[in-house]
Amino acid sequence: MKESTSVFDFLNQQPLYVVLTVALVVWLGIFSYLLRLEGRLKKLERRHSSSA
Amino acid sequence: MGARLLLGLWLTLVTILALTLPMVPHPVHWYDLPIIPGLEEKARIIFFHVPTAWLSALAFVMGMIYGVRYLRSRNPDDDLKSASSAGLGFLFCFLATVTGAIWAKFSWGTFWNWDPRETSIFVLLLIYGAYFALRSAVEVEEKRAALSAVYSIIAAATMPFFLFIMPRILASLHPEPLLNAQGKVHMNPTMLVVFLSSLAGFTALYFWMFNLHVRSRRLELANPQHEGEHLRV
Repeated sequence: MKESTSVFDFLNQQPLYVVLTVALVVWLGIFSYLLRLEGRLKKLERRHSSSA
Repeated sequence: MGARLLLGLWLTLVTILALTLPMVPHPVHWYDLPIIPGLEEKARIIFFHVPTAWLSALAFVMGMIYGVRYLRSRNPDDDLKSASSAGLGFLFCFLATVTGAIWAKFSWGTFWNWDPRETSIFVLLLIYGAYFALRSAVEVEEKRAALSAVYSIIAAATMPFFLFIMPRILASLHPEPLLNAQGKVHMNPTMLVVFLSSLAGFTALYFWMFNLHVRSRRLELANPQHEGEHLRV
């Protein structure tokens, strides 16, 4: 019998890793959004201070 | 930028550790977490649920502090900070409610059963919901700021009662809080390290989000014609 080694089978046997994957995707999404927001804010602040 | 990347890495590592460290009946290795009877793997939610509840308390207290500062200085910037902090507190309070309800579904079989913990956090959400209703109902800036500041002080004064006292004096199915009735922390050392790391990371995240929110509101107020628009560069 062929031993299954696909990612799907692994996640099926270890549901905690599904939770980990979802948690990491959510966190990295929030983090990259905040980083982009930081960059945009810096640009706007520079533009605002140079026009003031 | 370096500190922010460090925070990103820190919370990524905490998430990985919180969800992958093995849970065993009798911890032997430093990386083993104990199995808590009745909670088992569900106990891992403590690394995310408790920090969100802690941040809501911290944000509401910060909102109160800036409210007091506004009443003393009448500086609109303090009102802005007070409202920003209350907004973040509401967000984290909502997250604590949602994560708690998900945990309740798997532990108690239902998302909501009006347990004293659930009731008290719901009342707290209503109190702060009323804060934002108040802010949007008053158009005169100074009057809105003064009323909000007074309300934020009263609301924050009720917060310890709803978050810390009421759930302790009424019979609850909620697991014993981290700081128990005897004022002692009963937690496996490895679990405590991961938990405190999560708490520190979440607290830094709050201060970053607070800083971003205050700066974006300042820009909006400095350019009233763009108020309410998304940040575009």
